Amino acid sequence: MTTMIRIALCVLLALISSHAIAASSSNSAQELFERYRDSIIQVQITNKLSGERSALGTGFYVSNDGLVVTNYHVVSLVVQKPDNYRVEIIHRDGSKEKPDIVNFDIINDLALLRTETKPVNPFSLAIEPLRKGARILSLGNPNDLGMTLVNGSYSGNLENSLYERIHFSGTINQGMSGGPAIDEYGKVIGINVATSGNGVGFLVPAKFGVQLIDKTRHDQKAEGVMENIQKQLWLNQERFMGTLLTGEIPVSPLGEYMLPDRIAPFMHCWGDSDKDKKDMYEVVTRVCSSRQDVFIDEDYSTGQIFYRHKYIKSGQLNALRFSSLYEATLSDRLPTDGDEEYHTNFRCNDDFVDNGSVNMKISLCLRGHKKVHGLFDMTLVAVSLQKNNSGMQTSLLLTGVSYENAQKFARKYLKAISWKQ
Amino acid sequence: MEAIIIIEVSDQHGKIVERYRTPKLPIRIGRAYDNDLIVDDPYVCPHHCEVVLNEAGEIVVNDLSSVNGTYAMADGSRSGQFPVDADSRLRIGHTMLHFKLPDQAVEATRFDHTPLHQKGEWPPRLLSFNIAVLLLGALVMTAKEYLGSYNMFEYWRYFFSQQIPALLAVAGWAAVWSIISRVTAHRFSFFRHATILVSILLAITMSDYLLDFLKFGFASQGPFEVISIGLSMVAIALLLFWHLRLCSDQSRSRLMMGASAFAVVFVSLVQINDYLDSQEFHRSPLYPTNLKPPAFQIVKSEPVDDFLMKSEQIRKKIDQEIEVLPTAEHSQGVVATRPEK
Repeated sequence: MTTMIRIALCVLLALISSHAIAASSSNSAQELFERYRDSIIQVQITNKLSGERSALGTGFYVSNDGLVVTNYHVVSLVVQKPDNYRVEIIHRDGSKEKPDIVNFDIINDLALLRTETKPVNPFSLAIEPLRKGARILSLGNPNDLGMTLVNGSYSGNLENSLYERIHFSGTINQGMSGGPAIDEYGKVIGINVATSGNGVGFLVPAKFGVQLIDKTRHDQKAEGVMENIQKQLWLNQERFMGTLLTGEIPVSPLGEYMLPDRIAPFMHCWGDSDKDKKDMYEVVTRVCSSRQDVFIDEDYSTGQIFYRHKYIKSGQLNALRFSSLYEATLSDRLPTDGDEEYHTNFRCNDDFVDNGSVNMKISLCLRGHKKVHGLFDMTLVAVSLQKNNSGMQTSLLLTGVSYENAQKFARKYLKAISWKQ
Repeated sequence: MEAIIIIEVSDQHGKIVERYRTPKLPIRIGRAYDNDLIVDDPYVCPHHCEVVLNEAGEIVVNDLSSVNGTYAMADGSRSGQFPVDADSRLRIGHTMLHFKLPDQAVEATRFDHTPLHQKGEWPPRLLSFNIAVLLLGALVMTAKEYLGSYNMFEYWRYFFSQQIPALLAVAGWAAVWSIISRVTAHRFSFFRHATILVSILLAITMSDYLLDFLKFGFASQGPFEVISIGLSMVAIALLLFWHLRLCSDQSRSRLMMGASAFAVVFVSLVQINDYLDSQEFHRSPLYPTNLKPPAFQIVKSEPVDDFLMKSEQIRKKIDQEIEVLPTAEHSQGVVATRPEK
């Protein structure tokens, strides 16, 4: 009974609030929607063998000559497997058209399509940022329910993010990906790209759309898909590794050790500790992650950094039993996704290493990217061998970087570790 | 000519049921009680055949117009009369008759390789020794469990959840072998079979535990893996050899050869399987995770830079691996950056 009331109450509240929003902005939102609704299209990916659709998204016209912007992840199946999938756009009147995929920006998850249709009212992209709190409307086709507009507000660029994104306080649903988010004058502020649920949405800043269009109009050279992806991934890793390799690695204490803390602003760290009354030991953990990565294909995401430290201590276990515990705490896997199509197997080196402060056993493993030559994933696992009943273990994962950058970072990371004594 | 012959009577499975030595010839064979050689086979006639000495002094078997006839085993031919000499074989009904002459040579005496009281035999026939080995096995198993645990060690819980099932498994294994050896060699030897299994398990457990220390201490897997594979071959060969020795009177060298061949094939198959698995794609790196107390480090630690230099080798191998891949570039067609018209 109580649950039902609560649900009913929620529905009621939702109705009231949506009414309130609709009332305050219905005129301009209505006008904007009327003006631009022919410039928003649905993007549909169809599997050639089954004839059924495999992905849906939204796109919008940005020029009179028929250029459409959408998300790269909406059309990624066609880019990666053109023999198995085809892309179609569906206009408001239901007519279908087969566009060309002209260019894409995998780092910012954008793709540019060209159609024969010449729209009357294409969108224009804004480069200037808005003030925080400004109202924006996100347009798209959520869950294939027809074109919808979602009210929300501009919450500025995500702080401390590896890849620049606008924080949109509004609900972005599946299928709205690639749709425009516009200000009250109808200028595109960003492109719908992701959500973390509960009214937290993310937009790709419109400036990246502008850059992609400019680049496409000026580049005269035709390029292969993987060549294009390789170039983008390479520049991207140079950019973020540049940040990671600049300056000293900040360290903070974990047990008796000083260990890398938040290496760059885009790293996010959490801490935890584990000690039961029944346990004969305690484990303190710190995990840092860049959280974001670059999506290329369902089985291929890259460009992330993750590390985890553990400090393990026991007053009661003897040396041999402690080493059993030490083995068990080392068994946590690193989040190494991957697929045979894109990655080689890892190959590893392991040895005892002394960095001047801590004696460690280290395993360094590398694997190559099969389709993007010169990029590697690295795991580094270092375990201190200082005392019989306490120690630290650190595991690092760095994906989609050059061998030289991986080496430089491994060196810096290992040299940052010290023992407080 | 000596008229005494020996007839080995065997049933349809070839098992000899009677050896009949003729006192004189002729004799009559059949199911009736007035025969010289009474054959207990419903397919044999009451008066089936007779063995006589003919005028030429040859031994001959005459069929007495039997219902099912008399056959030569050699070619399956049916006849009313068969001349018989040493090693002739005839069939009447479901019964085999094997004729032997008294002066016929027999096989040389087989040497008993497993006399009841041979020195140095394994496992010894001493019950107290066998029980001691089983107890040692239980003790080592417990010690290993204790050293491998890092929470409160509750012995009784461990005893009921692991040691009792292990004991039952050993008993089951020993029981199977005991039954086999009872059938083939008339020896039950339950405790000796159990001792064989436990002693081999003990050896494997302890050698693996020691090898783990060496792998850690030298920060090296390969050479110790090879030793470990070699040891497991020896262990399996010995396990089989000892069990078989209690089950068979075959010579030591034959049994050892058989057991070794099995061990080599078995371990090789497991290794091939492991190798193929290692060639499969793995999402996670397979680095060694065995750790021991710092005091067991044997090789010296190296500086960070020297360690990192070694990754160059890995990089080369990965590059080679990628180079041989077919280039899967699908650049033609839809997806290319195109110049603006």
